[in-house]
Amino acid sequence: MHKFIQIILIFLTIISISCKRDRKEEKYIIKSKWASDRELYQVKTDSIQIAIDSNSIATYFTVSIFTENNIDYLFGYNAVTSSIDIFNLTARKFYKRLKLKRDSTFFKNLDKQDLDKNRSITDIHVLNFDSIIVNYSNKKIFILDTSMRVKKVVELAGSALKNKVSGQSTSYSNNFRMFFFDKKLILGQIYSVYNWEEKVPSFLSLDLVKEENTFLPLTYSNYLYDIKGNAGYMTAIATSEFQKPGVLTYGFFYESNIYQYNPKDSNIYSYGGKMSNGKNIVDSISYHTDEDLKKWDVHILENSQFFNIMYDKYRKLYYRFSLKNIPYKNGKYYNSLLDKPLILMVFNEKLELIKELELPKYLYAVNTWFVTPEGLFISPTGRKNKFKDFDHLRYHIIKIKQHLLK
Amino acid sequence: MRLSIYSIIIILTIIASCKSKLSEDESHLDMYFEEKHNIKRTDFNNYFLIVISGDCGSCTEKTIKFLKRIGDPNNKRFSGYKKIVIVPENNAYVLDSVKNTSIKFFVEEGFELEKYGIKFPKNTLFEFKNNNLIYKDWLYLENVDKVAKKYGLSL
Repeated sequence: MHKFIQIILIFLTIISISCKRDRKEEKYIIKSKWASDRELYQVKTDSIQIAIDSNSIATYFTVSIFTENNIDYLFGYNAVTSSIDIFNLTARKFYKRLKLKRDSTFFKNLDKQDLDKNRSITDIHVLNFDSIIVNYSNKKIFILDTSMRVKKVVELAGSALKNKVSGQSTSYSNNFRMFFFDKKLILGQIYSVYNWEEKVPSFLSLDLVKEENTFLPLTYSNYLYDIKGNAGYMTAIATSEFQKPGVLTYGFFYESNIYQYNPKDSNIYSYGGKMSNGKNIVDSISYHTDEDLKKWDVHILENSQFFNIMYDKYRKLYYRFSLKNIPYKNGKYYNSLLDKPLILMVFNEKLELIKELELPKYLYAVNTWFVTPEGLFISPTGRKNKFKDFDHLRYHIIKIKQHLLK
Repeated sequence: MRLSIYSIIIILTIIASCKSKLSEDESHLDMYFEEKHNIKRTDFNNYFLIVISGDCGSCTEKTIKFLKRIGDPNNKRFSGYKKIVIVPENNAYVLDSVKNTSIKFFVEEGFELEKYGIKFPKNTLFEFKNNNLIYKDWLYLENVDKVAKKYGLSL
């Protein structure tokens, strides 16, 4: 009898937890709206490979794409050689290696493992061959030409900016990627202390010509403020260099909603980007300094993570990848981030859902995706992918095509 | 009288169960060493075990200094201790920086440390005495100095 009551109590607890999550999703998460013509879209995957030398790397995480004279160039930061490697994607050829000057005060101590972001190139953005924007550890923005001459340096600490602001401007290749909007460089703004009562701006707009900075009226979403910032590792904003002209599209690691800021009417529009399975909003996680940090590792595993929203101007589509939540325990073993299923969602121009695809497990490396006229590129070099090829830079190209009705 | 015998039995049972119960970290390490390397962790007896994180770049520099000191074959202070380092392949360059020491390295390929629950967000030091875990701490930035100081080392 006692056991029976225990089972009932456990059952009721499970129901109560899942109901709480449902209520949370109901309150904060917008449902995806399926596009009425979604059946007309088809998916095809191609692959390319480019021969590389022994100094190149098989996976570039810090990349920028630049197109000139119908040729698409990939600029990728190579921590091993402390260089920016350029590939001609169109001709499938290695193009050039730009060595970051080792005798420069700023670049001499870069971490070859690219693990220490205090000694790294955290992000790059290419405007053209003579304006390569390099973020050095969120300390300084360098504008370099292809001879690696420094054309301009902008200090990034809030107090160093022309209009002094509190906090620190940041961008990473995997978290708040810097991008241009209205001819200004957009960076994330973080603060050492948040009170979570009053909303503070999270997007800094930097005019690199005048060296003037202003804030955009954009903040973290209501949910993060309601949970007092307790989203663990997922307290992050997801942005992309692939933006639809005129509007700024962004999201958050911790929820599936997609947001779009229109400066013309100063409105922020919200759209549904809800996955059909899995969690769509992160569980709040408390943390005390004496607790085991592993708690955060388990938390990121047991919650979904939503990456940046990329606009494909050639097809008028949006792409967004996410990692679906899985349990930490896996029988007598444990799951890791590499075990999380990678989901690709494709939206039309109105941000209506066209496709939701679960990609093959262990194949792809996250944060290696970008858009070119050929399609959506992603590197098939997942860390658990048993097929290793150190002689080529390889990409799969996901091509979404709309078939017109006859 | 009967009550006190029962109480003693209960207390002894609790003590016995506490003593035999391994921490989560110890269970994970047992499973890892037995399945991956066919080694019984209890064979080590007195030892330092350091697990290098594959994610923490800012841990590495000071951890290398610490490893050089505790692994120094001329340092007799830790001669009764084995020194074991588990390192994931993406951070295996740590090995190049720590040569000519008494440290035994296990380089893990294939990202399987997670599978055994021994992946940590920062470099982690465990001290075992008679196979009992007596100390665990992060080897991370200034905390490495704190840990080194505990063992009478200055970095």
